[in-house]
Amino acid sequence: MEKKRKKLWVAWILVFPVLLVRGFTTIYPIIMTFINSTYDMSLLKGADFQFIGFSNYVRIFSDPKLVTSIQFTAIFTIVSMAFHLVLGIILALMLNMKFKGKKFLRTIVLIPWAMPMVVAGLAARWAFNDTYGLINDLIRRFNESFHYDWLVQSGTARGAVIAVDLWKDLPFFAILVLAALQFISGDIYEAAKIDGAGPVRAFFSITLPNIMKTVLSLSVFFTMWRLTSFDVVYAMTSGGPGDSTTLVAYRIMQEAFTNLNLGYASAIAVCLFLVMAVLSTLQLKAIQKFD
Amino acid sequence: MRANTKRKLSSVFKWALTIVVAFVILLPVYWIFISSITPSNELFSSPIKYIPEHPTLDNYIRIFTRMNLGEKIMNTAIITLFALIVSTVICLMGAYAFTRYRSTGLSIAYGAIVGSALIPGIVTARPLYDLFKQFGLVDTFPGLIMLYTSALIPFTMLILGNFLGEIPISLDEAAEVDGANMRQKLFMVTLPLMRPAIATILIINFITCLNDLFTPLFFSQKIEVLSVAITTIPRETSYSMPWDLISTVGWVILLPIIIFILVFEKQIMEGIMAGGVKQ
Repeated sequence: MEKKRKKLWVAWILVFPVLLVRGFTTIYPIIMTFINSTYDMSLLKGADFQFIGFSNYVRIFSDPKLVTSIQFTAIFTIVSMAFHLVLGIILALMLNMKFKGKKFLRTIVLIPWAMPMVVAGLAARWAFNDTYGLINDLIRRFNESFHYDWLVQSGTARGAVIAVDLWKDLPFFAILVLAALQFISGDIYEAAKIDGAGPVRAFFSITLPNIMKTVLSLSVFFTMWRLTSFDVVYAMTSGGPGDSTTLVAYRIMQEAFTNLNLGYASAIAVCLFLVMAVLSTLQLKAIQKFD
Repeated sequence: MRANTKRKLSSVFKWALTIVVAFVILLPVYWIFISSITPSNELFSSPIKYIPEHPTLDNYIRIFTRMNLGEKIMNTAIITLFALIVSTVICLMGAYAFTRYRSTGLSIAYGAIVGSALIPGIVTARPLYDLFKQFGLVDTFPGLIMLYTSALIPFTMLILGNFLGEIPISLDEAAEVDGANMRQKLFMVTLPLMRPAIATILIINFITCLNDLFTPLFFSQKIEVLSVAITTIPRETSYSMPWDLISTVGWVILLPIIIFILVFEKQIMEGIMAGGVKQ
């Protein structure tokens, strides 16, 4: 023990590179985001920045574009997570089935996970095209006169964005749930079978309680990722039609890199960060209660 | 007899579900592929021909000659390769320290590194861009490699830390008793045992690097990587987007990914699950 303590400096040297890289790219920029959010930093107006306190924050609630963004981000997150929970668990159960196609199924679900969102998003932009798209082509095999421009109407554009998000991320969620499923021993199911429990009963009284904790902790992470989603909208709709699919993350990037309103962009980023912190704390509290 | 029919029915049911999932996942991927080998005049027509009548490699020749895709592949390869090497080496060093030495400071540092995965890129992007600009790192390979490396660190640290934590220290001590020095302990005892974990993390990180759009989009203009290149294809036809070339570049990105999955299915699966359970 004495020897270990003396050599602690060796440990810090070994850790130093990781801390340096990670610190350089996170700590300083976070502090700057907080500071910038209290200044009027609009690069188009010039480099003379004024301290304006919380004015940027006040602006958030009176900016109709941002209100639309917040609304859609909320819809996107809630709807996507609802489907993640239901379909994700079903897909996980499928991945856990014992049959000859197991390896095949497990291989193909990795494809959406590994595929860059920008490729999926661009393909989706064309797939939802009225005339040449894959979706309408499939529908026309059954109903020849079908025509609809999915990404031009705001309601269906929003639905399509959520669908693509699910296509890409649901398999990942399912694989992580599968990890929890594999920890349940087969004996419990055998015992339940002998006691006369059917598969539905077994699912609700054995499977679900056993995976619930994993599913809930996964939901925390997946909710956070939804709140900061950016790629899907960037590739698929560019936030349109109008601003109806502009997720908050996409809005922040536009303000920061296109409109060059650094102060305002920082204020939105800080709010998003705080919302995420509060939400994840609440969710983690709920999970602890569950134990 | 009845048990037999029941088993058959259950098998049919399982395969039916599998086919539905396979259809939903594979059809779009197949559609991207056939689009890339269909001549443009046939591609921009309806209905879609799922078996191209005149397959051609024209689009591939066009993206390599006119779009200079080779250069973009090289950029992606250089950045990915260095980010993989640097992140694995420094995380191995870190993981070694975190699992072989104990102090409150080290535990906090470990928690901060893994926990920092939750800090969204959009919160840090703009100030980081300005900082990089001051250091002359924007649009340079060292700058991009640093950002890619940084993004890989939390997950790599989590996986390597967990794995190294399960290798008993007594092995190290036994080697020490046998007179092994620090270097011998590392290269002849610890690293060979770490091989499966390192392989898994390299495979998953490779895919993460190919997937990253955010970093190269905002931190480089001249150095274009594949994920950005696919969004900047100039429109050659009068259609709303150059799907002929997008599908081709898309397939160039997808092919190595699909080969990787076919070869390493088991390792990727286990890697993802190892990260998930311990979260």
